[in-house]
Amino acid sequence: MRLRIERLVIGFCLTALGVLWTLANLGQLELLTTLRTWWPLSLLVWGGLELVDVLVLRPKRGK
Amino acid sequence: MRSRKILLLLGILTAGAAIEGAWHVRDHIAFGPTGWRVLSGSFHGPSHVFETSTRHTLEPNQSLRIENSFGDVRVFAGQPGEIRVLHRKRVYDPDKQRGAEFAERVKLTWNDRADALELQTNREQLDQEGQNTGWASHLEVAVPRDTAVEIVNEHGGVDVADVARLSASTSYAPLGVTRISGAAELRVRHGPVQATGIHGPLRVSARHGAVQLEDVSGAIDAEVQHGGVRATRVDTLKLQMRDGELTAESVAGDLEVRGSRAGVMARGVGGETTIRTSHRGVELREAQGSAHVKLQHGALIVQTLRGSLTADVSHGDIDIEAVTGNVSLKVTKGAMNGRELGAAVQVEGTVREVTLAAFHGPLVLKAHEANVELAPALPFTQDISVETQRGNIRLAIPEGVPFDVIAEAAAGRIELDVADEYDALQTSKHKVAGRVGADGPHIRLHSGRGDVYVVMDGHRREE
Repeated sequence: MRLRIERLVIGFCLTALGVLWTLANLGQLELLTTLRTWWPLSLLVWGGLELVDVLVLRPKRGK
Repeated sequence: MRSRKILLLLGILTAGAAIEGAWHVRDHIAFGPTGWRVLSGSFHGPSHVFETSTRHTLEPNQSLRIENSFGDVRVFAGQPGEIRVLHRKRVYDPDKQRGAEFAERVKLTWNDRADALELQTNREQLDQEGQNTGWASHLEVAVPRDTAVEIVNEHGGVDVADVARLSASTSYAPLGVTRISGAAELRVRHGPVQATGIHGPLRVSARHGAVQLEDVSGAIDAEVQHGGVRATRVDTLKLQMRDGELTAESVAGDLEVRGSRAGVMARGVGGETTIRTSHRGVELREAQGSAHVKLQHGALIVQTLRGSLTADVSHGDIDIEAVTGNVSLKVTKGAMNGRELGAAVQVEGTVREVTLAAFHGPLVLKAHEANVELAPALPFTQDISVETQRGNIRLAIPEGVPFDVIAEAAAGRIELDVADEYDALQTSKHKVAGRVGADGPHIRLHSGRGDVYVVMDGHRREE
């Protein structure tokens, strides 16, 4: 099955946002500060998935 | 690149920009319920000022409580037995006549209880009446010197001097306190704090603002988030801190810091120092007592410490100099550099590099992968035990001193460049044992995959 990276990234972002928002509502963290620190992680995750796709999955599909 | 990738990229970057934008503009821009522009917690726009003054008797056993919002409160020493208030009402209305009519409706109310005299404006009543005019109430209050004062303010500065005791809180504005003869408790959100000349215990709670404390003779208990702390000439300081830097100078008693993303630079601590923090560096200089440091992701610098040092440092380097007491270090993924250490030294962990010079006490070093360089101090009487799995060991011994040595290099080589009077007891490819003279200190050096070098230091010679 072909990997839909964009869907994974959106899923990751939504899950992370939901977890952070819930923790913020529980008083465990400050939402804006946490989002401001960690939002570039979404780009890292996406970039990592793209690399996995290019370097690992596509060559396998080519065989 | 496919269009949905471009859309997703734009979406993430837009969300990031929105988060960064919200981060930078929060605390600076808002719109008040009155419809007037509110910037940084205060009204802006055309306005007129109207003043009234009043006085009230204060019984000797009464404290004073002041409640205000959207305006500054200034309290200072006045005449005994009475409170004098200058009330400056700034009304944000371009029409002066209309402003004056509104200012007539703004009143101060007094509540005379047995133990406290309460002073506040009728803002709540005016808000309930649905008024739609922006107004600020600035209070200048003269109180007897021996008064205990409580101030609850919002969106306005607080400035207090020469009272007996103080409890003050405010937001979105500075809080300044001078010459308090007893205890003080200060709470601020989104504003700086400055306290000078506090002669009792001091509690500080501050968020999003710098804190400056000077000449405090009572114990300080502070909780600070997102702001730096500068403490000068204070008694004891106990600080909980997030996202900030502490600069402490001349702390007469103990210093205790528990923080995350909190840096510490302390000089002149008279008592014990305890620091537990992460992601920023710790510097401790000219301290009289012992120091205990737990630090993650930051460098530790200690210079001139008269007591002992216990430190657990991960992902950061350690640099220590002139420590009189015992040194016990646990290092995870960092380098360690030490000079002029007066007592026993113990180092263990996955330290990357260890350089120790002029150490006087016995040394026990267990490092997983460190390159080790050692130059013990004179007189050379200290036992040395070094074990590293993957690094080289180099020990420079002063000329003319006796010692017993066992050197092992399981997969490396051993080189002994020692004096002519060296007496070899065992010599093989991976283990050497011998001695120079009698009754010297015991040296044991073991490297798993590195080399071991023992050399004479011709520049230093024991007389």
